[in-house]
Amino acid sequence: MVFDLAKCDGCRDCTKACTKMHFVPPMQEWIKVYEVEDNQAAGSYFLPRTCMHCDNPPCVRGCPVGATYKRTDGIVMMDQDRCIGCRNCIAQCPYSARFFNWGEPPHTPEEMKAAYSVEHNYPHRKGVVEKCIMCPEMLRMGMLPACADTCKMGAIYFGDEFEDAVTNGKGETMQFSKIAETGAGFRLMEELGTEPRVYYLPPVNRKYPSPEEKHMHDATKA
Amino acid sequence: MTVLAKAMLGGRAYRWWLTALAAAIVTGVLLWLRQWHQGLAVTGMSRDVAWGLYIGQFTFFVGVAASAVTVVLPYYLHAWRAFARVVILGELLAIASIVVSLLFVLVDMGRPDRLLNVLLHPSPSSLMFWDMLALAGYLALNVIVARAALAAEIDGAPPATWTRGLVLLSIPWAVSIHTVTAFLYAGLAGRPFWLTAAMAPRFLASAFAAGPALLILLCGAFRYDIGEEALCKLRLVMTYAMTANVFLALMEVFTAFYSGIPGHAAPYSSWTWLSGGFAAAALALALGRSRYAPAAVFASLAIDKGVVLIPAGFIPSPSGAVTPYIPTAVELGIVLAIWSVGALLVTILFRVAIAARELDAGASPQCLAS
Repeated sequence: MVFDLAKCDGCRDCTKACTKMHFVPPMQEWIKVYEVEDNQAAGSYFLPRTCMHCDNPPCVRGCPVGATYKRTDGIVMMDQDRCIGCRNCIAQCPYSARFFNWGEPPHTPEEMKAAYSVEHNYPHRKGVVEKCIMCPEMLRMGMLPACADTCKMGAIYFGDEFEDAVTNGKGETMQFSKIAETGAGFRLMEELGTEPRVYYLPPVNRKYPSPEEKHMHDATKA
Repeated sequence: MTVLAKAMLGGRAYRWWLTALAAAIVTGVLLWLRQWHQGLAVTGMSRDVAWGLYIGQFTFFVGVAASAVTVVLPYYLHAWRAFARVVILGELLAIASIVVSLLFVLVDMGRPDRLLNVLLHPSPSSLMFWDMLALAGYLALNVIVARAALAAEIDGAPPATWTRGLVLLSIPWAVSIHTVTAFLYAGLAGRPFWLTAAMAPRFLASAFAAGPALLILLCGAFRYDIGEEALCKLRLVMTYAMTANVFLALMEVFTAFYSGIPGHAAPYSSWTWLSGGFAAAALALALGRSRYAPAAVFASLAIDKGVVLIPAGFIPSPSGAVTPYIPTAVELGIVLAIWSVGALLVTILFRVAIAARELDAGASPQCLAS
């Protein structure tokens, strides 16, 4: 997955689409958009974060029962049929990408109609850990994950690193190696050696009003 | 075994004590059932602070269990006879502490009904798997050794020779249980407060202070005279270990603050400073040979390791969120119940051991509050 931070305008449609698709309980965002200001001199930008689907995942290493595991296609999966709720994976994850159902999550009738599958992780249950699973059911149908599919700005690209192609919700397909190289792609907390599979393109030459302008605009509107 | 039957009987105060423990345990079981029903939402833990009092207490009591080595090693390895009267108590305390620490793991689980998954799907890459193996093995070792020692004592015979090998094995095993427990935290990339090679040494130092402190307090509570020499030696071990613990804690403070890396300094909150202050006060009392030193050392470490250390590792979160953690009444009730299970085990096991010892010495059993 590639996030082009120059395009993300912080509308959070991705979070809404994800929450809708997976019936994500309240207090969880499998994709969360942070507004980041690295220092006072620099302007702020929006940073969407999902599970990083690390190639060297600390959560998988730490799970005492193999309830979270790495699929051959790179997705870090989560099996709520096996999870014992010890939360070691939450302690292990440096990206805060994992959530625990502290109580019984509120259910919708639609959610309860579905049979549990490790590929969609609902109906949700209390006492187990959940996270972004990169919409395996969509991928099975050759579609983009819900967040990438819904992004109006086309800021979220998804694809196969070995095919060297990533596609966004506007149907624009790019050569991954090319945009990563020319766009100076980076990954979060590279220094920890987790080898995340989520790349970011820096927020330069933004394709949207800067967050500061947006805030001023919102303020005048209100 | 009339000795055992006699050891179970006692006076009015003793019966009240048992009643109080039973009441706390029953309350705790009810609270735990409620927690199971409603989920861990009934605790003060949250999205950012994923482990709290339960895991802190687990950690602390693994340390108390490991500290049996402070009496076992001098007695068996160095034939230090002064510990003859206390060594069995150290082993029994280890048994009770392991049971307590395992109970704390159980109540912390979101799905305790799936406990057996740890055995059904063993994952050698997870330190939790090794921790469970280490704790189960240590429990088994101590149960076998203590049982053989007690049986021999009741029969008035020397302990069976085959137990010696197990006793010697229990020494490095004791060190291993607390080292692996430290690795649970010290190996986490995103938690700078715990990411320190000094974690395991510090765990051992604080354990070898808290354990002897508790043993001294318990001998006092049972009015069991272990001899002046043994008492002095236990206090000495406690004081040196506490000194090492405070020294290592100061090393952590230096590294965090002189390096100036925000992530390392941020977890130092008023709570960590307060527990550090307690530790310094306890150390001063120990160095000053105060009679309150064992109580102060035990209390300060129970707070430092059992309450503050674990939540502090989660605050602030890797994304910088500061979420306070305040244990709820349900959580405290369950903690109290597990302490009561430990107290009950200690009461029964110590009374049996002391009765067997007095029988050996040809005197009548002296029991707690009888």
